[in-house]
Amino acid sequence: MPETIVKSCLLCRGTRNLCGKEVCPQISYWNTIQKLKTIESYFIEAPSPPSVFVGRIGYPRVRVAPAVVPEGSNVEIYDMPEKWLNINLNEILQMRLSLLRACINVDVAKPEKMEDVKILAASSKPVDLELRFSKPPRPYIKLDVNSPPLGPAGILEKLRILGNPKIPKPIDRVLLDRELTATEAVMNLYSNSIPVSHIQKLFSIGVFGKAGFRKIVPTRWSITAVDSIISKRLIEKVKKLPVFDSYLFFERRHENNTFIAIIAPYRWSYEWIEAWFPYTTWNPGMRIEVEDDWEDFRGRSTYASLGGCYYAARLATAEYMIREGRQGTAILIREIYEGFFLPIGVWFVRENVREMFKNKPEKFGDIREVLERLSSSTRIQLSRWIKTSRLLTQILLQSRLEVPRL
Amino acid sequence: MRLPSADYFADLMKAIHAVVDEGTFKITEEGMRLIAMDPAHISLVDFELSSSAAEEYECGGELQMTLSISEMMKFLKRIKKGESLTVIYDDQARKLSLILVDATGSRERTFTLNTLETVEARSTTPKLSFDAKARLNVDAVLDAIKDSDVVSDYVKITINPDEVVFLAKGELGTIQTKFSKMGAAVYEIETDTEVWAHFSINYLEKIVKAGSELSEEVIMNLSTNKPIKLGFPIPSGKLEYLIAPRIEGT
Repeated sequence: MPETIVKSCLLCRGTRNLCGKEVCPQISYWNTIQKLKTIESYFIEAPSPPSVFVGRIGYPRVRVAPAVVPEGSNVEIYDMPEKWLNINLNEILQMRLSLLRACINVDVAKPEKMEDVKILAASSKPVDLELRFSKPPRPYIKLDVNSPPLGPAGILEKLRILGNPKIPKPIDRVLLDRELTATEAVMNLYSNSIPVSHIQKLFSIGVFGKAGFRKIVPTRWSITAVDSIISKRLIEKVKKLPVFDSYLFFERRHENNTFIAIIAPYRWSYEWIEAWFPYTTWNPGMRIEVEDDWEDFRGRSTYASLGGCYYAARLATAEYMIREGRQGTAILIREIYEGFFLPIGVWFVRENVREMFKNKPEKFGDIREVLERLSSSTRIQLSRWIKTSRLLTQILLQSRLEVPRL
Repeated sequence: MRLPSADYFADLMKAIHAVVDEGTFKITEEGMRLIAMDPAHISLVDFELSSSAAEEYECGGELQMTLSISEMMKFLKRIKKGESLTVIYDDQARKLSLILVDATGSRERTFTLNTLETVEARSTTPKLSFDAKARLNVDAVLDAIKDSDVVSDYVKITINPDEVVFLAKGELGTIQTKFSKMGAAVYEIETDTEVWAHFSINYLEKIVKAGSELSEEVIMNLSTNKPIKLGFPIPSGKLEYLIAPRIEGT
């Protein structure tokens, strides 16, 4: 496959039709091979984890889709990526594809029309729903880069909440406050230990922001918006912390992926590098593709080219530094190997990087020792990492001004 | 302190902002001075504005004022052409007032900014000696840096007795700009030998761009693999920068 096509897959990830095909071949492959069973009735009573998906097609008229689990137990974890690291990917896929969605077409500027959906999304425990369809659900799956996979969908005629939603106090307070900005609402919930996935759900159905400015946000965008908002606020705090006093090295292997973090004893900077091996989700070609993006102490004003993963890993990195009370220059690396070919959602990166930072780091006094350690863990050669990484090159080559202390 | 042109003051602050988001000014009867390094210690700005730059200048004694340049820039962006500026600092209340008056005196706008606590003020710069000096047209240099940005993140600057060369190499290819001693862009070259060093375009571009708003020429001082000093002559003041090099073999 010509290099341009491979590269454009990495940049497009199924959303921008960069290859010129009408339907992304990577995604349609999965769409066709999966034959799904679904209920063929106009009516169902089932629990929702809770789960609400907002599509981005047709923006600003989008589909909002609360979802239920027609069969199955432990419904709660169906929409809680924070709990998915110990489940294998096939099971996650099956779990997700068994979620039955009921779609409503809504104008993004009119979130107030969805009072029931709002109550549903606010609940921290599963809620029983009665769904009446105008068209019975069709077997169908939806894969997306940022959000977890999704199963069959029907057109909703009427939704009724049967059970008692359990709304955590912080969420209740934020929902009633019509003066909070979206950023304040997100940070308020985050500091009250509401899981990021729950904040993202609420963000997407348009209950944040000052009254009159509220909008429904497609799930895909809301996931990254929340990762970005929280990490940005955390980084402001990180930048005031003392600097780490040595190099730290972290490593985690999971489901055909290797995650590595190098933290250097300099002030805050962050870099995210992905190396896709041949025949993986976003690299159908035969060569290894490496992409990176970064920010320095002053941060960035443009959207990172690597999208959601960049912000998800940035959040996990900032959380670690806040926990340690230190700042550093973080270089995060991910190798994706053959056999990992499902677009699974950015939760995979966020939760893996969080998990990685729970390990005890290896400590080094010198960048060269760190690089040697790095080369023993990755399949890609060290020279390629150095060539790709702006921050590693900077640490290796950039000299610093030495000014006599007062 | 009253300055006839508010625009000019905004350009000076922009020039400091090229290196730091916040800084500490030392204010004396002679004028105001700031020396500050960026958080990564790669670049340094050395700024001075003498009291003679002002139409009116008053200072009760030596004091320090630390402020967020980023915050102040937000206000300075609102300046209209032809406005004059009066800067008043209340050390007791730690408040800085910027008063803008338009040409006809019909409108007066006052912006008051809370200043920050001074943590550590720097008053020295690294001791460096330079083997070569060149004075060039600043726009020509800015162009050479922007060209280099097309192929690379850093650029090699060479000064020899006959020319000043900017060379950038990247995966795409190389871009080279030569300024001959005879040409219109070079005002002066002062060196016996050839010296060179590599610099991050990110830092160079921000600094030279800010300098180009204030001065028509840039004075470059360089030694091989040592920091570069970039000076931008301004009336009644000083604006100089240092940038640490990237260490490369050739």
